[in-house]
Amino acid sequence: MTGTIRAALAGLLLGAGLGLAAPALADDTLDRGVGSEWSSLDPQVNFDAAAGWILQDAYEGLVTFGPGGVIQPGAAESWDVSEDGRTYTFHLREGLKWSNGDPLVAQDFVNGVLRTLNPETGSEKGYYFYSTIKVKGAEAIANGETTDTSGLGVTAPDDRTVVVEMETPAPHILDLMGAFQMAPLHKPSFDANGAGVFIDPAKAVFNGAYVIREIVPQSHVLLERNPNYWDAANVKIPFVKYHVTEDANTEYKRYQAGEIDVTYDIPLALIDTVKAEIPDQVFISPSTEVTYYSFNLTRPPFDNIDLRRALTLAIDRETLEGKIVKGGAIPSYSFAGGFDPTYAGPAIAEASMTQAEREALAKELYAKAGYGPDNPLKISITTTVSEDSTKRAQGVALMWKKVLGVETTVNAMERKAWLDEFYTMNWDVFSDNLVGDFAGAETFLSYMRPSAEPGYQWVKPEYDAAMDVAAEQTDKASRNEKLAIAEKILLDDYIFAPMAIQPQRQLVKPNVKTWVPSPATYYNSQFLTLE
Amino acid sequence: MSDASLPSAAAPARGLSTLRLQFARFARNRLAMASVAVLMLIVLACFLGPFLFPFTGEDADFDYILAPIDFTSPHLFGTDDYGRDLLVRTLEGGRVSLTIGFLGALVAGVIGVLYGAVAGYAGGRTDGLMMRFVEILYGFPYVILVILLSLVLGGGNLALFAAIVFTLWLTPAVIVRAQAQSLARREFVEAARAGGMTGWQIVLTHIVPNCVSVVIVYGSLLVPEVILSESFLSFLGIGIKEPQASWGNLIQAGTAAMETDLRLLLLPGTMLATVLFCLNFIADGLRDAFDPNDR
Amino acid sequence: MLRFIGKRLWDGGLTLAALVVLTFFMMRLAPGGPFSKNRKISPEVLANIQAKYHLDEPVWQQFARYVRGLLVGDLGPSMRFRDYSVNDIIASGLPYSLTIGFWAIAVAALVGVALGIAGALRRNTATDYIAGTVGVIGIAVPIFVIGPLAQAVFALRLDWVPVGGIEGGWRALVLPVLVLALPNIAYISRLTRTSMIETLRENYVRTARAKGIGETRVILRHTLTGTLLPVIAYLGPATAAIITGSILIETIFAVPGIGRHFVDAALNRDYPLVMGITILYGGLVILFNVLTDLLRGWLDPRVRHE
Repeated sequence: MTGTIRAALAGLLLGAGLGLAAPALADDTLDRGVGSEWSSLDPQVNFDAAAGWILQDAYEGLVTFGPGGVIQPGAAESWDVSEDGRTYTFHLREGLKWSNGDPLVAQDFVNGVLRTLNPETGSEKGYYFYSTIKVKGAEAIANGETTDTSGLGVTAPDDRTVVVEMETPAPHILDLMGAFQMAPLHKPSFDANGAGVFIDPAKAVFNGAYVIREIVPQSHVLLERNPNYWDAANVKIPFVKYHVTEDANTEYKRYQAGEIDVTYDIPLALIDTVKAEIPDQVFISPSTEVTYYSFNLTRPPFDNIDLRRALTLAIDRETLEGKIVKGGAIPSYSFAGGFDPTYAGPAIAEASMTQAEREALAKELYAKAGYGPDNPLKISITTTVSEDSTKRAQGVALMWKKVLGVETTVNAMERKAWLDEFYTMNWDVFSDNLVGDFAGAETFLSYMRPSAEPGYQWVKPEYDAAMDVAAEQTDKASRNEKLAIAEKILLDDYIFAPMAIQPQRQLVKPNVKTWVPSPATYYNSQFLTLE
Repeated sequence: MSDASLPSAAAPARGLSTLRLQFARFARNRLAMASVAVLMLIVLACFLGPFLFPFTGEDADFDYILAPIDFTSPHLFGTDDYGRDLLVRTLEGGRVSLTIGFLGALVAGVIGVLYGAVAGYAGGRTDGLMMRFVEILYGFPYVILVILLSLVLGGGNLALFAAIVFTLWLTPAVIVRAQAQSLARREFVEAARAGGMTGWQIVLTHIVPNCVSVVIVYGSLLVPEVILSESFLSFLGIGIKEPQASWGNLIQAGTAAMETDLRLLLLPGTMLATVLFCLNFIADGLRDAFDPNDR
Repeated sequence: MLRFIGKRLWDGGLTLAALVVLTFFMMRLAPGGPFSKNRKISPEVLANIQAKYHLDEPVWQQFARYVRGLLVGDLGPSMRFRDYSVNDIIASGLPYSLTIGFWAIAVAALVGVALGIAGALRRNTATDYIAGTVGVIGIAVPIFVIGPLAQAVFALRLDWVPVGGIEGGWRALVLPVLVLALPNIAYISRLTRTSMIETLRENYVRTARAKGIGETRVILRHTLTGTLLPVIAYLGPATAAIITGSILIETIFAVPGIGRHFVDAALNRDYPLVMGITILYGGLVILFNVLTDLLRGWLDPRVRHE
């Protein structure tokens, strides 16, 4: 029993000590909820969006994302693009330093990329460099085909220049040059301590607006302003604390009690209440996650486009999201539109009709496909067990029944099983979703290429061709134009029913200024102030 | 379990008259009988009640979202945030929770009794092995066992039920085994053996019936345990899934909305609490009735 | 005595070993794995990550590797929390769970026994009914209802304690401990009450009273040990469960113990973490069973000779 008693005493002392050591009444601390515990604080390994917030405060990439996710100069003060759009040259600011005073040089960024691609690191982020953009030599290193790092298209010809060479032009490269993808690596501390350095605040070295001071697993991470940051003068909030908030209801109570200033989510059951009571503190905005219902093209009758169209049109998206799911998702009639204001993408042909017109057309197509009251379609929807997914699926099932007389069962499975289920092709309709790598159309459309994701079993060489054409454009405007053409081909085939853009939800205290919704969820603390 | 109860159990007519005596004693316990009555009422309400309404617990009535209690409207206790009638949903949820509770306790009880009776009667190596298996399962954290089992069995509500039951039969098994061990040494069992009965016959006709009283007492505590377990799992997000209502997920949703609309929590919560109260009093009554020491 | 302990520990060790085997293989039967989440990485990279965690090896080999680690006390790396090993995770979370669990048991035992004795001594009076009501509330109202209610009242309305987290010093522990203790107070008080009533009827108590010994002494000296035996028998297994971090309490009160991992590790297929927690829990169950038996043996000579 002594062990227990000792542990108990230790726990008590711990508790008391923490109570005494906490910053006085925390008005100099921004308390943010971060959901489940971060998967890693290793900048080259971490793949969680929420944990990414911590890392975006502690590290800075070549660019940084200002309020609303606007791209602005970060460690690099300017950049040039080559004529063919394949080479970007970034010019680092003068006098950049790591948090321990060491000079921050271009090679540090190269080392970061190398580490991300190195198979030994086991990072899932490598694909940014050989899939989302095609950096020369990146794929070979990531796949382990070569260990010769000199072939990589990311180089540092001198201490203040980083050059990125790609196989094909990609104007969206700038979206990938932030801390989440391009955090630099401080070699001396990493070489001395290995990957464990990242969770040791005493030894870790940072280049962002903040440094990590304290890490308590399952509880919180405390960051403090970094005096060696080049823009430290403009960083207003002295401390930032990210709290693990597993339970949305507890998080809400802590918000009410003033323990948390910005929440990670809003409990679904309380959305209407908070919108009524504290509307200025509620932020529900689109994220970069799109939800769509994929049809199994290998299974009749889903090879019949009329049927697919009928099912797509029979869904009343506004009622579904507004009255049934009620999570704040934005109904969508397209796939890649709605994330980038400069992209004028197409929507499905019937988007401009009224819902009544759509349902009439759906009934026609359904009959044309050979179904009716005496021959109803019987199918199933495969989805996860999360609350909004099942609600959505139930809602869709109800609508298909009401409009077309289709008998649908909802097959809800646990998340991991659901991920695996996709590849078995053992489903009729799959409640699918895709998180974009950045707030732009291309990241979604390139995923739908049969060469990128063969799982859909979709054969359409015209799409690949259109995407190839788009991939050659060097500037955003013409690129977006060509992407829109590709999207039309995609949508016209109705291989899936577009459903909605997933929302992000936060409650933000009135004294936190200025919270600007950012689809890619870039909310760097350095751009906020506490009044 | 003391030996004092056994001589009466070993009396003629295989304990039927004793059972009658014991039930009579139970009937005299006013609190327990009242609890039985209330429980029956609730069971009837849950299984038959929903038929009295023109809508089901899944019919979403978008005109009446979050309606308050109004005995003049068709929605007596109001609706939830999807316009589903709260009372009907609670009753339907009761069907699920009560079924899981009683059926689960029954299945777990039967498995436990058989397992324990065999182990206790067989003794020796078999007993050692069987009990070792029980010990191992006891060492499993409940939640992990339920999650893993239900995943392995394919996910879904039936798998969940199987997983819950699988964790429950351990305690009845241990209790019955202790009983069976002492029973196995009794003369009447010897006589049966001498008379040529096979092991299985002895277990089924002599051992099991004499353990019934013990099992009934402990089994009656299993039912609330199952029902609470299901609500516990629902709170964690791994219980019975929507849109199928269960008291567990209704209470979980009600707790979430506690600040704004207490009614969503009160109705299923009160029904659950009432059922648990009743079951506990019934269990107490059964224990008083079946354990002659506590007069 | 030592032989008894030794034998029980040896038995316990065997049980634990069987538990390890069972958990290890059962986990791999569940669909999905720790790294299925991202469909955009190339098959080579996915294969590489799997290889890093030895998931590409045949299951027997993985098991052998795991056992080799166990023998030197290495529970392996966590597959979900890439920065930490399972040893790290358990070491950081356990003190919180243990602290809350320990105090919850202490409060439950003290208050429960006190209520039970009070009820037994003042049968069918107001005291008894109050004690009984507390008991039934603890049993009939689930923790996840009491918890948020307590938060709403004591933390939000009255502002006596923080809503959650561990920042408030000892105050942050009050609600978690009390809410966790409540169901056990209920069971213990009922158990004690029944047990005390039975013990008071025993002949040796009548003898003591006949001898003229004062009532207080009768209770404290002569009946207490007998009364407490079933309570201790109950406490053994209950303690292991409570101490390994009531999942509900830690979720509701945002306590960074190991309770959350019971659910998440299984759902995330974090194999080593599931193994580590199961071993910890199983070990504690066995340990507390042995301790309980020892305690009972010490208190009740009859048990010693079983």
